[in-house]
Amino acid sequence: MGGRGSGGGDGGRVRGHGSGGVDAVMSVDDVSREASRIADGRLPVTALDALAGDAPFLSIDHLRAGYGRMEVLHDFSLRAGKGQSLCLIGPNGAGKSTVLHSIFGFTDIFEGTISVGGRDVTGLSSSNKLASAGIAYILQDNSVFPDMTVEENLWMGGYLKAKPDAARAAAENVFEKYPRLAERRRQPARVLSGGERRLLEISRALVMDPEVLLVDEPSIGLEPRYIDMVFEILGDLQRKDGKTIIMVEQNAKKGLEFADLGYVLVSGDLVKAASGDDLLDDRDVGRLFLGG
Amino acid sequence: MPRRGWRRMNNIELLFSSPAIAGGLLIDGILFGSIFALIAYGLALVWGVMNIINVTQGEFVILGGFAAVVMADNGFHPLLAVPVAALVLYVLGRLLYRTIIHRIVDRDLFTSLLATFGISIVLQQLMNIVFGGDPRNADAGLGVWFAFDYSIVLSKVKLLAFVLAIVVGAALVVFLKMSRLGQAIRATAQNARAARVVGIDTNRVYEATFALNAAICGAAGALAATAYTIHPYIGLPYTVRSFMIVIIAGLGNIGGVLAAGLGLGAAEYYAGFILGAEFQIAFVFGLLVVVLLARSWWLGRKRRYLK
Repeated sequence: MGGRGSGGGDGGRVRGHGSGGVDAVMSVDDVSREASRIADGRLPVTALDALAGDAPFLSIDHLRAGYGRMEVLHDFSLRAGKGQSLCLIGPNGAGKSTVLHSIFGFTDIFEGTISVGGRDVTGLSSSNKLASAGIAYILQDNSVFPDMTVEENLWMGGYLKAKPDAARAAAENVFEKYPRLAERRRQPARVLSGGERRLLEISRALVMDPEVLLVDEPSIGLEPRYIDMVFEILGDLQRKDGKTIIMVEQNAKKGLEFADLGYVLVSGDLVKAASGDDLLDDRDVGRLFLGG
Repeated sequence: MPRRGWRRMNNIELLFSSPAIAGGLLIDGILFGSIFALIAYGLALVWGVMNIINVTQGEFVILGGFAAVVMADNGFHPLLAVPVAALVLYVLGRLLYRTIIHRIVDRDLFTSLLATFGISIVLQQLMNIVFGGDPRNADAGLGVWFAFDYSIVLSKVKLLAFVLAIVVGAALVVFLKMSRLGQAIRATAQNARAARVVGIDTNRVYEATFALNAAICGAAGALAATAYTIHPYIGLPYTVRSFMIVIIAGLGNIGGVLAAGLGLGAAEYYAGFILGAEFQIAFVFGLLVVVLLARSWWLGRKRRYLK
């Protein structure tokens, strides 16, 4: 097993916390190197189509995108059917969030296309994506407006609606659905608990009634009891309301258990794509991303 | 200089022995202070939303003042200049944002201080070339009121400037709370990333915020020029005053800004009376040092408690 630990010394045994060894701990670089070795060769787009049930709703084709002049994604393609959920996993810096940013229009796109329901949305601004293409982005970690009330936060979610009344009506729907938020509607968002904040972030995105939800690290910074709640809410949105969900999740096990499809990204390249369950059973994926 | 010291003692005694003088100074100071509060509110807006400390604040004020002077010279009522100055400065604010400020929004404080300081120097020189360096004043010809048997003299134009400053401030609060753009500005100030996620074009919000602040300064300057004299190089004290007020009151605290502004105005008038008018600006800068020291002591104390 020598050489797998990041220390890599042949004789000196590195010890971890308490009595646990750190032989199984790998550096990010090692994970990336090994992960690119497990690649299934070039993944044909037809294979991605098949995973999406040959009826893709959200399609990304040969995307090259990044920030400024830096290219993060190289020739990336993705397919998700309507009402499917897809989880992106991979080491830090693999470009998972960049996929979400590109779909929502936060990156510079050099080449390739993104389409939703057959409509090319590659060049749309974020506000147009939200207002007319039905794409909403749920930001990781603390994206409420702290000094506005819960109610005002939801109204801000409908900022792009032509009439403020429409946003207010949508907010009422949210309150009906989540009584937990309704109880706190007139309190400033900064006093909410972590779970309530995440609930507010998710429901604020629902005000515009999007078809596609881009969910960035839903479990980050949450207490364990809230993590299950968040995945339950997302599962509800997928199954009952037919939302298509594209997710990035650092807790790969949770993410893959939840999602229909799993994509493994390494250094801006797609190295593996399969159903979430298949990836959970995959030996290499288990070793590299699921902790043995 | 014993004679000067003697005079100061005399002045302090005079304040205590003559409530009319003391009261008059207080009223004059508060009236002037309302203009400071307005400028400080604009500074707090830009600071809170864009994280830029705008050193150009005072030059915006003086430019607005010159708008009033020019209009008065051409036979218009100088108070008509309030909306005109606001409009002119609004346009200038947008222009500056598109050419320079948009490059420094996400940069560190040092970059934005340097850039806005540069703009303020350029504006000073331009005003000197265009309007000349002499002290000017836009005479509104409103006269004065006398109260308490002629012991308190109240300039009507100062009173009007005070009322207008309060009205503009109140309108601003309502605008931020009620209007769509106001909501977008508040949302961006609280969490810019989240604002982009709900579809707010933050770049447009920044532009509007910067231009709005310039307009506020322009209006404040037009009010100031009707009651006080201006010249191209007197902008910096206004910048320092507004900075000091925001340091004391904090960002996003309109009541605090108003109170600190009025208080500063009164303090300045008393200081000017006691030390002599030539020391009034020196007092402002000296007070800034005191406020900054007090603030750093206060923050240091807080840190000790947190440990």
